[in-house]
Amino acid sequence: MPAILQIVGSVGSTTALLDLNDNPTGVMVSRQGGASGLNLAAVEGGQDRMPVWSSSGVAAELTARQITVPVFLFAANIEGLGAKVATLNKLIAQPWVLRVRRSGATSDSWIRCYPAVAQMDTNITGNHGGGVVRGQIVADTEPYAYGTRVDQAAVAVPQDPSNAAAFVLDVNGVTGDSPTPAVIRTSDQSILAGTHGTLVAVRRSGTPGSLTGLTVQAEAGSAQGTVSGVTVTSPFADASFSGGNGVRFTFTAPYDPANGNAGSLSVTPALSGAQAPGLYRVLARVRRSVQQEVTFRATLAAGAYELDPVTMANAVGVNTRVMDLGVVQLPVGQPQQLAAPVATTNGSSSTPVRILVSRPLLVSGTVTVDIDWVALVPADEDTCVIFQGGVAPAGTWLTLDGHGNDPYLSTGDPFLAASPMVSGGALLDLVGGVPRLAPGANRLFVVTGLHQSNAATPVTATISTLVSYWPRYSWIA
Amino acid sequence: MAVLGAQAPLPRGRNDTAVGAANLLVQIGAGVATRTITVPAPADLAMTWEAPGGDTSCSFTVPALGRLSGRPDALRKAMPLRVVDRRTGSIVWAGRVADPGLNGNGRSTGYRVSGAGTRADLDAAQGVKLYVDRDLSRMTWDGDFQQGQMNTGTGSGFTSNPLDSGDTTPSGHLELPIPDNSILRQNAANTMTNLVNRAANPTPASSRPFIDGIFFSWTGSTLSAGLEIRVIVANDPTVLNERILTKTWVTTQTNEALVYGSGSWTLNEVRMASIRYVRTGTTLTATADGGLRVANLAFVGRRYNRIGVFIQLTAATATVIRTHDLVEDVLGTLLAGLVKPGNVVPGGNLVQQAAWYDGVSAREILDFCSSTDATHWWAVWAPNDADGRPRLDWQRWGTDPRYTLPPHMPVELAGGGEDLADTALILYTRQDGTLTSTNASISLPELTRTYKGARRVMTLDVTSEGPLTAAVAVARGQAALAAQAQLKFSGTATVTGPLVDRRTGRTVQPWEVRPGCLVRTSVAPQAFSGLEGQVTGTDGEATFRLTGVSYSASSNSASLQLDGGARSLFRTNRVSRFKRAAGKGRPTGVRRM
Repeated sequence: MPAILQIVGSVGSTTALLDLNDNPTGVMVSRQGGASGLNLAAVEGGQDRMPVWSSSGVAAELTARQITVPVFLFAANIEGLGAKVATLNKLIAQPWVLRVRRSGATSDSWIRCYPAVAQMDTNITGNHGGGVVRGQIVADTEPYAYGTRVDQAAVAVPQDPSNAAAFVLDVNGVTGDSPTPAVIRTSDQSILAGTHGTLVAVRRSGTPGSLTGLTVQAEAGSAQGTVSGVTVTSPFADASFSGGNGVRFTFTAPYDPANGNAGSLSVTPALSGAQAPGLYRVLARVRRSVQQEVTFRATLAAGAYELDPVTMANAVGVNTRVMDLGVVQLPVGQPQQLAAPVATTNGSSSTPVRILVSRPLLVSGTVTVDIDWVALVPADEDTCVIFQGGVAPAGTWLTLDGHGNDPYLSTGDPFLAASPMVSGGALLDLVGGVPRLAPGANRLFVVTGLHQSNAATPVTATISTLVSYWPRYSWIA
Repeated sequence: MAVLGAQAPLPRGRNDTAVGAANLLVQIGAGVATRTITVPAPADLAMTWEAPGGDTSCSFTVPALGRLSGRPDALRKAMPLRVVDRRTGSIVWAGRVADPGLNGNGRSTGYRVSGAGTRADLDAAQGVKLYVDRDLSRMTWDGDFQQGQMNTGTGSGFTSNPLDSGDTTPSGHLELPIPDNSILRQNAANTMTNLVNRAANPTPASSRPFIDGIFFSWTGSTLSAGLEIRVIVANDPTVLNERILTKTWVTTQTNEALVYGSGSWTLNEVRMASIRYVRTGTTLTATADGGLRVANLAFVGRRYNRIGVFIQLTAATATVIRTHDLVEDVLGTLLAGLVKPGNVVPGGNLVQQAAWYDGVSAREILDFCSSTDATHWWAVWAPNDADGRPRLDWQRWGTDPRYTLPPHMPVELAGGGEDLADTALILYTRQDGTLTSTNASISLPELTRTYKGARRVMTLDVTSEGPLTAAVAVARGQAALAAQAQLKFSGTATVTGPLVDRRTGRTVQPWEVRPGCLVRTSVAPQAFSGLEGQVTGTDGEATFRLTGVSYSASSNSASLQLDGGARSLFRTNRVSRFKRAAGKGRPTGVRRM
């Protein structure tokens, strides 16, 4: 029998609205069957119903739970019992929260439950007029119980790959026994004060802290113009670029449909070893000199594999932005390891990425296309991109709520402000899934600058980011 | 991947693991609705993709919303609908809500949502289009020389116009006659006119077909001097605007290539062109039947590039109109602001006739391109980057299989041998207006062997395409035969787990398999004389075109349509596509001048 079994107002609350394990002083009660009546373990891993509050993720996640809660309500008189039953019915007629603490445990957990109906017997015990109402509640609940919220202090995430900590936001020491949605917040005006596109991804399996060598400077690669009419400047000095340098392709000749007037840049991110296998997004920070269509295409293994070309459309400005060139697998073209039951996990060697840059339009004139850096960002365990299509007022917070997979803008910290929601204003568009955190170590990646807008994010920017989560438990009692 | 026996192989690490439909999220109204909906993939989620076509359909049930909430504004018609893969953040399918499918019974409310892929928007992107028109019947007689009414002939005596890349030996000509005993006074003229658009500024802007090139051959009958041939263009049909050709009458075939911006043609946005002869000398009485004959007539329309900037044609490039050029033009005009270019490969077949005066949708033009050029397909796919607009692909089918199905994935092949044909009887209209027929053949080794030289003939009716030359009709027949032979290969296969994508070098999940490529099954391997990677083209035995993919979340599997797919989809409908290609309309109210 749990030590604590209460209906409370919210996850994290310890103030009982109704104590289901009531034990008033001086009343002796026999609780036959009480301990065996509590069942919190009927869970489903299938997909026959949809959770409203939380989204299921990987195949191993639970999707639903049904609990059976024995109810013992005591009161000094009949009217008191009636009042408690009324309270119970009122509370569980709408979504309700059950606070559970196992006997001998020191921490609480909370389960969010769907509305239910209690089945009750009444047993009047003796002449003092009091009694006990005994019964049980069978309720559908969310599949997981929550612990108390954990808030990680704000981390300034650098956007300059020459900084070793570029794009990295570690969330370590996550408790609980199951993956839990993250709530990611920022009030950083360096991105919120304009349109922006910001990618947030996570690597949580393996040893995320050892995942290094994801970024490479363009000038460290090998650049060439594949046909006449394309000249290469490498390194190309520019103070607004990471490390002060990039690579410049200058397209001078009119477009030649036969060969596409392509330049190419081959870079080799250092990423290798046991942590390397997986899927990655290829990102590149680029800039063009005039508003003219430019096409990028990532190829791997010396051109043996290629991704779909990505067009920087004609009408999206000339300023620096991060282009998303698609998803690659490391090791490319091969399974991750032998099917034979070998003892060691095979890793991946460093894989060169070649980016083809071409100008497809039938117009003449000079166009320069600069590449600052190229990065591989994990894309196999939750990736999302938030697009904000306008200016958010000063002081606004942006929240990515992993529980509903929705983005919000609010006038203050949504955990603290009284009436936080911003109505109207900049439209948000979230593509993908907000990262979930696994128990233990997690490495988040925050990369901004993906929006097509003219507002370029300086390479020196850091994005102050807060991560909060409620540890989730599949094993409750 | 291959293993012997019925068991699927154990996965080998993160890349090779089936991660399940739970990684898919359905997002409705994102970026538009006040209250968007994001839910994990419902169990009955089904999505389809096609090539040609792209993202096609999507349906699912949102069951639980009615339990605790009201109706979000996202659940309305035409709201953006997409399915995303939460692992990679990629959009798997994109389109709009065609029907929110509301059903309620007082206690609960459910939404059986059906969505139409972005390609459905291409049906509603319409305009009037002129790329190239070789239809002699476009010309109308102005009636300005009543002694000699314009008439049509068989085209005999003419050869093709070497200045016109798309021209073939003509099957008709037009004549502006000078009958015996007719009297030509000074400045008498006999004129024929093509008016492509009467209104000065019709809307939408895509409905403004302008003539940017006029190609023809002409010859004059033996008559004394004092006659000229003239070509006049106008951008206002009520005003004679600019004379772009003046030549003295000769009696041999003379070939012309007139292009806006070259020579004396400076008038922009031409909507009307006239060819006439004019008596410049003194009054003449004809002593024999004669006149001006015109053949190989081709009106080349203004083309735009993918961003909507018109392309300055030259005499050398004007008639080199490939299917790719039509795709680029559609991108820059009808589809401006709707989709953006994806993988648009240059080249393609030469287009000899493509004009739609009575309106055409972007999708009809793209279908026309892929039916006249069966080595290519078009598709509109979900956006792949921050720009947020769907991508239009114009790609080749290719010769290397992109996917190789391991033995444990089911394959079922259909027949179709009874519909094979190696000869086509082609019914078409000659340029002189007479209905005629010809035939075309291709070599099909399986028929040659089994029928021992006898022919199997199918009928192809292309009369609706308007007047054609014999060479063009034969080319149509050969394309139809090749398509028919291609489509005899048909069947279905099912992707039940991760599959290697040989183009990107990555193991993909069933919802990431896309049509528009070759797929190799394991049921009927070819001779093991070559390496797998050397397989080229489809063979109808083991390697097929992947023309459609249907993903079902309940089984987390993708059903593949190989070539013609299941047998019931049989080909007559494919052949009939030719019938609606390159329709033509007639202008009304041509000015007499």
